[in-house]
Amino acid sequence: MTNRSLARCGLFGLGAFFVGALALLFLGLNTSEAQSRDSTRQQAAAAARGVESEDSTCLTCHNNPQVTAIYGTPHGLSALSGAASSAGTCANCHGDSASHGQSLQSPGIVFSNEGRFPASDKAVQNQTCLNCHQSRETVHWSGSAHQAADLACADCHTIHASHATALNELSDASVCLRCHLEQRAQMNLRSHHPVAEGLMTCNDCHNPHGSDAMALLSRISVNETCTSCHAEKRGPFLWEHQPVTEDCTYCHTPHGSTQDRLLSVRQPFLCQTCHSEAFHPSSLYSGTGLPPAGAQQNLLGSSCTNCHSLVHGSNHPSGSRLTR
Amino acid sequence: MLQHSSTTHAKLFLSALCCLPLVNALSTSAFAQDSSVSIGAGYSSEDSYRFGQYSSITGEGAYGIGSFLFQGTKQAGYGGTWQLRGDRIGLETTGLEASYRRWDEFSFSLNYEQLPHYRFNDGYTPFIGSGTMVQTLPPGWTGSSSTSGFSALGSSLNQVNVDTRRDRVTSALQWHITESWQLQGEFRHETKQGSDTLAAIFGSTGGNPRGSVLVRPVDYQIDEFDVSVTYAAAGSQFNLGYNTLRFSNDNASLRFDNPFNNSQWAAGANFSDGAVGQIGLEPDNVSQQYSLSGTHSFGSGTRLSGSLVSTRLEQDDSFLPYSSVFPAPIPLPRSDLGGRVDSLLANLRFATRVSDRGNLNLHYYFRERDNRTPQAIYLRIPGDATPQGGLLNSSARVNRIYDLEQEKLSADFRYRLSGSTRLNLGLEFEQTDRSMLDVATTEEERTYARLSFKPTVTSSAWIKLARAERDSSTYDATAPFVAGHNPDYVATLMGNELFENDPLLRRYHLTARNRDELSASFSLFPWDQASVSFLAILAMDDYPEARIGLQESDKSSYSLDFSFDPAQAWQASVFYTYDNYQNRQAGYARLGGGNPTPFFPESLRLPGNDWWVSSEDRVHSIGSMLQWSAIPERLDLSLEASYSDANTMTQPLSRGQRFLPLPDVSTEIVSAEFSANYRLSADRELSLGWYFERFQAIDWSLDSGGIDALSNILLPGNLSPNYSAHFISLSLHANF
Repeated sequence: MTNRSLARCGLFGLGAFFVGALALLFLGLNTSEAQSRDSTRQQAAAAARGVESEDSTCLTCHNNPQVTAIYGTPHGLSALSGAASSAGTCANCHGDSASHGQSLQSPGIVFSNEGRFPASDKAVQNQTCLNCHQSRETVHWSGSAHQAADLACADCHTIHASHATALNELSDASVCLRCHLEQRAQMNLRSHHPVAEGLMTCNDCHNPHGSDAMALLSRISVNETCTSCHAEKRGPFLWEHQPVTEDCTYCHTPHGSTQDRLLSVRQPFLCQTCHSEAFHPSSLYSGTGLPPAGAQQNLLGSSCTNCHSLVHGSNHPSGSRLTR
Repeated sequence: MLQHSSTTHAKLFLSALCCLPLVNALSTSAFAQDSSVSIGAGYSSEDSYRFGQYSSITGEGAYGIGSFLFQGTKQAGYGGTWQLRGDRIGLETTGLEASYRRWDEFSFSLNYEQLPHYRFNDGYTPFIGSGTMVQTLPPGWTGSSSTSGFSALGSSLNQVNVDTRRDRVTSALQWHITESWQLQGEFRHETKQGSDTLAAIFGSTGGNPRGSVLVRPVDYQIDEFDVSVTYAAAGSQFNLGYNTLRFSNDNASLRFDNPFNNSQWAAGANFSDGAVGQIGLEPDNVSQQYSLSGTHSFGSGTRLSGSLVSTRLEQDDSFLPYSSVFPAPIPLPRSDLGGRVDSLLANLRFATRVSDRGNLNLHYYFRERDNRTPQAIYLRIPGDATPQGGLLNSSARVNRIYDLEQEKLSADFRYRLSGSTRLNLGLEFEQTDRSMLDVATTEEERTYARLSFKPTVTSSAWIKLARAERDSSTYDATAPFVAGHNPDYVATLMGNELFENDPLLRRYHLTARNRDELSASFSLFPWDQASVSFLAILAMDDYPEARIGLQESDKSSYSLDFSFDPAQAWQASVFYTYDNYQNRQAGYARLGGGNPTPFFPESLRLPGNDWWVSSEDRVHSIGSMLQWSAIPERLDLSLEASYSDANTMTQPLSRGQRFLPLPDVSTEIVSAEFSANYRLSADRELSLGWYFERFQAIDWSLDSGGIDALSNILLPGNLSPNYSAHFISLSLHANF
């Protein structure tokens, strides 16, 4: 960073400070009114819907924002629509907790270990959610990798938050990456999909609730998943490249790579694991092909794809070597 | 193409400021609940495509950035919620969403997203019209047989940008027709526009190609429609769906001037003749898919589920001519491919609880790719510099249509040994049949065992062992050659001439493989506020039959995580991951002019031509996060930092082939992000942010010479990215 850039940064920072101060003056700070609105909003909404009376026993002790935030979420609404039982919002998920209310025993179902009571068996927790969440997305939960790993819905979803982490597309990758540590490191490599940048989410390719395909892919195969965005690569081409038709991950590592374009191994060596034809495909490429010793067209630039750039397939009648 | 100008930044920034009255008005209106608006501005210190590859902050200057979230709930009777949302407004990563939902009735959403991808802007080309479908050489260009002879090159260069942007509009509808029936529909319209690199090969001499890497136009469009009906009742779910995806490319081909002259080429093919080459770009395609899936529960713990998906993919773009220079005496066998690939996928799962402690899952999987594209003989012209040959030579090619049939059967058994100790055993068998390849069938068996337990009250652990053995059917090295050439030409050849590849090659996805995997995790919770976890993954692949090709592939990954929340006001975490990937492959240099020693019989092979290459990636990744509520309910501070250091080492080796070591390729990325959020009131927050990123890369493929470093190929000459960039921002967040 040059001194000139630093000076510009400083000037900009100063300017931004004054703009911010101006904005604050312009907006005004009606603090008392805002605080009043904030503190009563959730409860007023709930009361207007008639929930609070059904949950009043619970709210006698649990009337705090961490709990009542649920009234601003679809779960808070579910008790009102007639779809759920008439027992009120709390009991819909936490089960019959009469003994908890009377003698402080454990509630019917406990969803996390953070409180004083141990969490319920995860199958019991999950069945509570699955009672309502029967859809295309959850049809393969039973027998899925995450069920096998003994995950509970509440391990990823925060039900009482108005902006639940795993339900927020900007941040749900962080939920997945808490456990998928290898993928977390790969997403910091030079070549990666824009997950860390918030433009893609894990859910764009995977269905964490289970799927028919490998690796919990949301489409039926690796290639269907990749070509839903990269549809230009699916052909069918006149001249197919066989591995491309079978599995994109033969050459690419989708979570991140040290090589350009998510390639799993550097060219030309990646190509030479399958191509050993006479002449240039069978040559040994080494430092003799780099300046000043030499300048090999299969090492510099884009390596093999300096010529074979239609590596995913060609539809040109003369393109059998994927060069045109 | 998509680069911001300072003027644009200033306009965006001023536009954001103009939104302030709107924010004020909305904050006092009654129709919105739990809504928020953020407006702010930022300044970037660096001109770098790589820094802004996904953020679009590619240039030094100011940026206006805003976001909003308006949402509300109808409070009478049953609830209906609506939401209007906008993110990153002012950048080319804008996301907008409008949704409305009535619980258990219907939901509707309309979404707009931008996804830019900036690759590089430091490349050069002499071609006029770069990034378009017709690219010509400038007046005064002098043709030559090699790039060093392009005397007008230096004075003809124009800078090129390579970047694309996706614009995606998605609308989705869910309608609960009755309590059990639900209809879902989704439509996606997506465009991808911009530029990318493409090799334009015109001809060759003695196997040495002549061409240029051009900047091609990208103008794609995807339209996808998906509709399904779901029936869900207690114990049963069924889904019937239809999906169609149409890909359209506005550019069928790219035409380019040939910059080379070569005395070996036919008259009319040289630059001096005004020869023009033509490359085919990706053809349009369309797929239609029908799916049926369902699940039924037979009581507690027993469940049967299955799915059937049938897909048809078609492509019928008109063919380009064999050559744009010479007429083809033997015409094309068809005017278009009439390409069609049918695929079928079936799944059947059975899950049951065999006892109070044990569960059994059985899974059958079937996948078929049936390529029904018509086959024909195409008399290809390798480059536009050559006239068409006859039917009885290697240029008479038959298009290979690859079929695949795969079956997989797996059993997974889980048993709870004690309260917290669980054992998981699994067995899988997979058979894959392929056509027109050197291997017709592969069979693989996989077994695994996983044990999870709690060594102490404050710790948990698991360990998993897996073993996979893949066998392949008899290797027929001639099969791809025979399938891909004119049968009349094949009949003229000797048996040892029917090889495309070295007959000792075993391609890694088709040959025998032994895979061993070990993974283990240990987590310790010494006290409520802290946790330490360790994860190790080791995998070793051996390809015992590959004398040529990939022989070994190993992976190891170790991660250590530490998180610490000493008080409500503090949260801290740090992680370190080390990844190591190693490959070892072997080759045989079949060189020696126009008539090299044949691969076969084996006795003629020259031991000195054997070679090996070992490559290794070593990656260190470190990340840390610190959050501090410096003034409770008033000031929150956050600092995140990450470091990634990746090195690729490649070691060639041969007894008789001349070689020199290859330099390492390295990439070091350091980033730090600081934010301070000051809560001015219950509804107002001021955020100050600073982001720093340093990217340092050394890559011999890019940094070893310029656009004419190769004698036969003109390169764009872009270099490895190297920069240090700061981005500071100030924003105001208002809730109302």
